[in-house]
Amino acid sequence: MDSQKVDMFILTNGRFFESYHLGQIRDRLLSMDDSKWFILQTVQFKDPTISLIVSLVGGTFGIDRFLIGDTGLGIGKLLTCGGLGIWTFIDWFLIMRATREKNMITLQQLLY
Amino acid sequence: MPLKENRLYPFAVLAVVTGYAWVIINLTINKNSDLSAPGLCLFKTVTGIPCPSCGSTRSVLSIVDGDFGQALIHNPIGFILALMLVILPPWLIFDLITGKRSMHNFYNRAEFYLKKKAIIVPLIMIILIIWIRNILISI
Repeated sequence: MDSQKVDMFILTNGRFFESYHLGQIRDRLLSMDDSKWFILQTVQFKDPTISLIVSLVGGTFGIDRFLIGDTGLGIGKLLTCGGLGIWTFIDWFLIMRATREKNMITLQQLLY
Repeated sequence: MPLKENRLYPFAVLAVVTGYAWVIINLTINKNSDLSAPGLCLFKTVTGIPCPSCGSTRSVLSIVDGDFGQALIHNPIGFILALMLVILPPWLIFDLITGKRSMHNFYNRAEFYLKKKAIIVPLIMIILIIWIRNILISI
Protein backbone atom coordinates (compact mmCIF):
# COMPACT_ATOMS: atom_id res chain seq x y z
CA MET A 1 0.00 0.00 0.00
CA ASP A 2 1.00 3.55 -0.69
CA SER A 3 2.98 5.00 2.23
CA GLN A 4 0.97 8.20 1.97
CA LYS A 5 -2.26 6.29 2.55
CA VAL A 6 -0.74 4.38 5.44
CA ASP A 7 0.45 7.57 7.10
CA MET A 8 -3.00 9.06 6.63
CA PHE A 9 -4.54 6.04 8.32
CA ILE A 10 -2.07 6.28 11.21
CA LEU A 11 -2.77 10.00 11.59
CA THR A 12 -6.53 9.64 11.69
CA ASN A 13 -6.72 6.44 13.70
CA GLY A 14 -3.54 6.53 15.79
CA ARG A 15 -5.37 7.47 18.98
CA PHE A 16 -7.36 4.23 18.85
CA PHE A 17 -4.24 2.11 19.34
CA GLU A 18 -1.43 1.67 21.81
CA SER A 19 1.64 3.57 20.68
CA TYR A 20 3.77 0.42 20.57
CA HIS A 21 1.31 -1.13 18.12
CA LEU A 22 1.64 1.65 15.58
CA GLY A 23 4.98 0.52 14.15
CA GLN A 24 3.66 -2.98 13.63
CA ILE A 25 0.45 -1.65 12.04
CA ARG A 26 2.43 0.58 9.67
CA ASP A 27 4.72 -2.23 8.52
CA ARG A 28 1.78 -4.51 7.96
CA LEU A 29 -0.23 -1.94 6.03
CA LEU A 30 2.71 -1.06 3.78
CA SER A 31 3.01 -4.68 2.72
CA MET A 32 -0.71 -5.02 2.13
CA ASP A 33 -2.61 -4.95 -1.12
CA ASP A 34 -4.22 -1.67 -2.20
CA SER A 35 -7.63 -3.33 -2.57
CA LYS A 36 -7.99 -3.51 1.23
CA TRP A 37 -7.83 0.26 1.55
CA PHE A 38 -11.58 0.72 1.23
CA ILE A 39 -12.41 -1.96 3.81
CA LEU A 40 -9.83 -0.42 6.12
CA GLN A 41 -11.57 2.93 5.87
CA THR A 42 -14.94 1.46 6.83
CA VAL A 43 -13.80 -0.30 10.01
CA GLN A 44 -15.28 1.29 13.13
CA PHE A 45 -12.99 1.61 16.12
CA LYS A 46 -14.04 2.25 19.69
CA ASP A 47 -12.94 5.56 21.13
CA PRO A 48 -10.94 5.11 24.38
CA THR A 49 -12.16 8.47 25.71
CA ILE A 50 -15.80 7.49 25.25
CA SER A 51 -15.23 4.23 27.09
CA LEU A 52 -13.56 6.16 29.94
CA ILE A 53 -16.61 8.42 30.23
CA VAL A 54 -18.93 5.41 30.16
CA SER A 55 -16.73 3.74 32.77
CA LEU A 56 -16.96 6.75 35.07
CA VAL A 57 -20.74 6.95 34.73
CA GLY A 58 -21.89 3.36 34.30
CA GLY A 59 -18.92 1.41 35.58
CA THR A 60 -20.92 0.03 38.50
CA PHE A 61 -23.21 -1.70 36.02
CA GLY A 62 -20.39 -2.94 33.82
CA ILE A 63 -21.63 -0.93 30.84
CA ASP A 64 -18.06 -0.01 29.92
CA ARG A 65 -17.20 -3.69 29.53
CA PHE A 66 -20.32 -4.31 27.46
CA LEU A 67 -19.36 -1.40 25.26
CA ILE A 68 -15.95 -2.73 24.30
CA GLY A 69 -17.35 -6.22 23.69
CA ASP A 70 -16.39 -7.99 26.91
CA THR A 71 -19.92 -9.27 27.48
CA GLY A 72 -18.87 -11.97 29.94
CA LEU A 73 -16.94 -9.55 32.13
CA GLY A 74 -19.77 -7.04 31.81
CA ILE A 75 -22.26 -9.52 33.23
CA GLY A 76 -19.81 -10.35 36.00
CA LYS A 77 -19.41 -6.69 36.85
CA LEU A 78 -23.16 -6.05 36.73
CA LEU A 79 -24.08 -8.93 39.02
CA THR A 80 -21.46 -8.13 41.64
CA CYS A 81 -22.29 -4.41 41.86
CA GLY A 82 -19.13 -3.48 39.97
CA GLY A 83 -17.01 -6.09 41.71
CA LEU A 84 -17.80 -4.69 45.17
CA GLY A 85 -16.85 -1.28 43.86
CA ILE A 86 -13.20 -2.25 43.65
CA TRP A 87 -13.35 -3.49 40.07
CA THR A 88 -15.19 -0.31 39.02
CA PHE A 89 -12.37 1.74 40.47
CA ILE A 90 -9.63 -0.35 38.83
CA ASP A 91 -11.41 -0.22 35.48
CA TRP A 92 -11.32 3.58 35.45
CA PHE A 93 -7.61 3.15 34.89
CA LEU A 94 -7.66 0.03 32.75
CA ILE A 95 -10.53 0.68 30.37
CA MET A 96 -8.71 2.99 27.93
CA ARG A 97 -5.93 0.49 27.44
CA ALA A 98 -8.44 -2.35 27.17
CA THR A 99 -10.32 -0.43 24.46
CA ARG A 100 -7.12 0.09 22.48
CA GLU A 101 -6.30 -3.61 22.79
CA LYS A 102 -9.78 -4.47 21.48
CA ASN A 103 -9.27 -2.12 18.53
CA MET A 104 -6.01 -3.88 17.79
CA ILE A 105 -7.80 -7.24 17.77
CA THR A 106 -10.43 -5.82 15.40
CA LEU A 107 -7.74 -4.54 13.07
CA GLN A 108 -5.76 -7.75 13.26
CA GLN A 109 -8.75 -9.72 12.02
CA LEU A 110 -8.62 -7.58 8.91
CA LEU A 111 -4.85 -7.53 8.47
CA TYR A 112 -4.13 -11.24 8.83
CA MET B 1 -14.31 -10.97 22.22
CA PRO B 2 -12.66 -13.92 23.91
CA LEU B 3 -10.77 -13.30 27.10
CA LYS B 4 -7.22 -14.57 26.92
CA GLU B 5 -6.65 -17.87 28.68
CA ASN B 6 -3.79 -16.59 30.80
CA ARG B 7 -6.05 -13.81 32.09
CA LEU B 8 -9.24 -15.75 32.73
CA TYR B 9 -7.80 -18.18 35.29
CA PRO B 10 -6.05 -15.69 37.60
CA PHE B 11 -9.14 -13.53 37.33
CA ALA B 12 -11.46 -16.40 38.28
CA VAL B 13 -9.24 -17.32 41.26
CA LEU B 14 -9.20 -13.68 42.39
CA ALA B 15 -12.98 -13.43 42.03
CA VAL B 16 -13.59 -16.60 44.04
CA VAL B 17 -11.13 -15.62 46.80
CA THR B 18 -12.63 -12.13 47.07
CA GLY B 19 -16.13 -13.58 47.05
CA TYR B 20 -15.41 -15.99 49.90
CA ALA B 21 -13.50 -13.35 51.85
CA TRP B 22 -16.44 -10.96 51.49
CA VAL B 23 -18.94 -13.58 52.67
CA ILE B 24 -16.76 -14.53 55.66
CA ILE B 25 -16.20 -10.88 56.61
CA ASN B 26 -19.94 -10.25 56.50
CA LEU B 27 -20.68 -13.41 58.49
CA THR B 28 -18.42 -12.29 61.30
CA ILE B 29 -19.68 -8.71 61.54
CA ASN B 30 -23.17 -7.62 62.49
CA LYS B 31 -25.62 -8.95 59.92
CA ASN B 32 -28.50 -6.66 60.74
CA SER B 33 -26.71 -3.41 60.12
CA ASP B 34 -28.65 -0.34 59.05
CA LEU B 35 -29.89 -0.68 55.45
CA SER B 36 -29.78 3.03 54.70
CA ALA B 37 -26.13 3.31 55.75
CA PRO B 38 -23.76 3.88 52.83
CA GLY B 39 -22.29 0.58 51.86
CA LEU B 40 -19.74 -0.52 49.34
CA CYS B 41 -21.99 0.21 46.37
CA LEU B 42 -20.72 3.32 44.60
CA PHE B 43 -24.01 3.96 42.85
CA LYS B 44 -26.02 3.77 46.07
CA THR B 45 -23.56 5.93 47.94
CA VAL B 46 -23.65 8.64 45.29
CA THR B 47 -27.31 8.66 44.29
CA GLY B 48 -29.06 7.03 47.23
CA ILE B 49 -30.87 4.71 44.82
CA PRO B 50 -30.05 1.00 45.07
CA CYS B 51 -28.37 -0.66 42.09
CA PRO B 52 -29.60 -3.93 40.51
CA SER B 53 -27.31 -6.06 42.64
CA CYS B 54 -27.78 -4.25 45.94
CA GLY B 55 -28.86 -6.78 48.55
CA SER B 56 -27.06 -9.70 46.98
CA THR B 57 -24.60 -9.91 49.89
CA ARG B 58 -27.53 -10.23 52.31
CA SER B 59 -29.08 -12.72 49.92
CA VAL B 60 -25.95 -14.91 49.92
CA LEU B 61 -25.76 -14.69 53.71
CA SER B 62 -29.40 -15.85 53.90
CA ILE B 63 -28.58 -18.79 51.63
CA VAL B 64 -25.68 -19.68 53.95
CA ASP B 65 -28.22 -19.70 56.80
CA GLY B 66 -30.52 -21.87 54.69
CA ASP B 67 -33.26 -19.24 54.51
CA PHE B 68 -34.00 -19.32 50.78
CA GLY B 69 -37.24 -17.33 50.99
CA GLN B 70 -35.48 -14.44 52.67
CA ALA B 71 -32.68 -14.72 50.12
CA LEU B 72 -35.21 -14.29 47.31
CA ILE B 73 -36.64 -11.21 49.02
CA HIS B 74 -33.19 -9.64 49.45
CA ASN B 75 -32.11 -10.18 45.85
CA PRO B 76 -32.55 -13.10 43.40
CA ILE B 77 -29.07 -12.40 41.99
CA GLY B 78 -27.69 -13.80 45.24
CA PHE B 79 -28.61 -17.29 44.02
CA ILE B 80 -26.45 -16.88 40.90
CA LEU B 81 -23.54 -15.59 42.97
CA ALA B 82 -23.88 -18.38 45.53
CA LEU B 83 -24.00 -20.94 42.71
CA MET B 84 -20.83 -19.41 41.24
CA LEU B 85 -19.06 -19.56 44.59
CA VAL B 86 -19.95 -23.26 44.87
CA ILE B 87 -19.19 -24.29 41.27
CA LEU B 88 -16.06 -22.28 40.44
CA PRO B 89 -13.52 -23.66 42.97
CA PRO B 90 -14.00 -27.36 42.00
CA TRP B 91 -14.04 -26.35 38.33
CA LEU B 92 -10.77 -24.43 38.72
CA ILE B 93 -9.16 -27.35 40.54
CA PHE B 94 -10.42 -29.75 37.88
CA ASP B 95 -8.89 -27.64 35.11
CA LEU B 96 -5.67 -27.28 37.09
CA ILE B 97 -5.28 -31.02 37.66
CA THR B 98 -6.32 -32.29 34.24
CA GLY B 99 -4.69 -29.44 32.33
CA LYS B 100 -7.87 -29.01 30.29
CA ARG B 101 -9.20 -25.60 29.40
CA SER B 102 -12.86 -26.39 29.95
CA MET B 103 -13.66 -23.19 31.84
CA HIS B 104 -12.04 -21.07 29.18
CA ASN B 105 -13.96 -22.86 26.45
CA PHE B 106 -17.18 -22.49 28.40
CA TYR B 107 -16.56 -18.79 28.92
CA ASN B 108 -16.01 -18.20 25.22
CA ARG B 109 -19.10 -20.17 24.28
CA ALA B 110 -21.19 -18.34 26.90
CA GLU B 111 -19.96 -15.01 25.60
CA PHE B 112 -20.84 -16.05 22.05
CA TYR B 113 -24.42 -16.82 23.07
CA LEU B 114 -24.68 -13.74 25.25
CA LYS B 115 -24.10 -11.58 22.19
CA LYS B 116 -27.26 -12.91 20.57
CA LYS B 117 -30.19 -10.56 20.87
CA ALA B 118 -32.63 -13.31 21.77
CA ILE B 119 -30.63 -14.01 24.93
CA ILE B 120 -29.25 -10.67 26.01
CA VAL B 121 -32.54 -8.74 25.72
CA PRO B 122 -34.54 -10.99 28.12
CA LEU B 123 -31.54 -11.02 30.47
CA ILE B 124 -31.44 -7.24 30.58
CA MET B 125 -35.21 -7.22 31.10
CA ILE B 126 -34.82 -9.50 34.14
CA ILE B 127 -32.07 -7.27 35.54
CA LEU B 128 -34.29 -4.21 34.99
CA ILE B 129 -37.21 -5.88 36.79
CA ILE B 130 -34.93 -6.73 39.71
CA TRP B 131 -33.68 -3.17 39.73
CA ILE B 132 -37.18 -1.65 39.75
CA ARG B 133 -38.15 -4.02 42.54
CA ASN B 134 -35.04 -2.99 44.48
CA ILE B 135 -35.92 0.69 44.13
CA LEU B 136 -39.58 0.11 45.07
CA ILE B 137 -38.80 -1.78 48.25
CA SER B 138 -35.67 0.40 48.75
CA ILE B 139 -33.52 -2.54 49.72
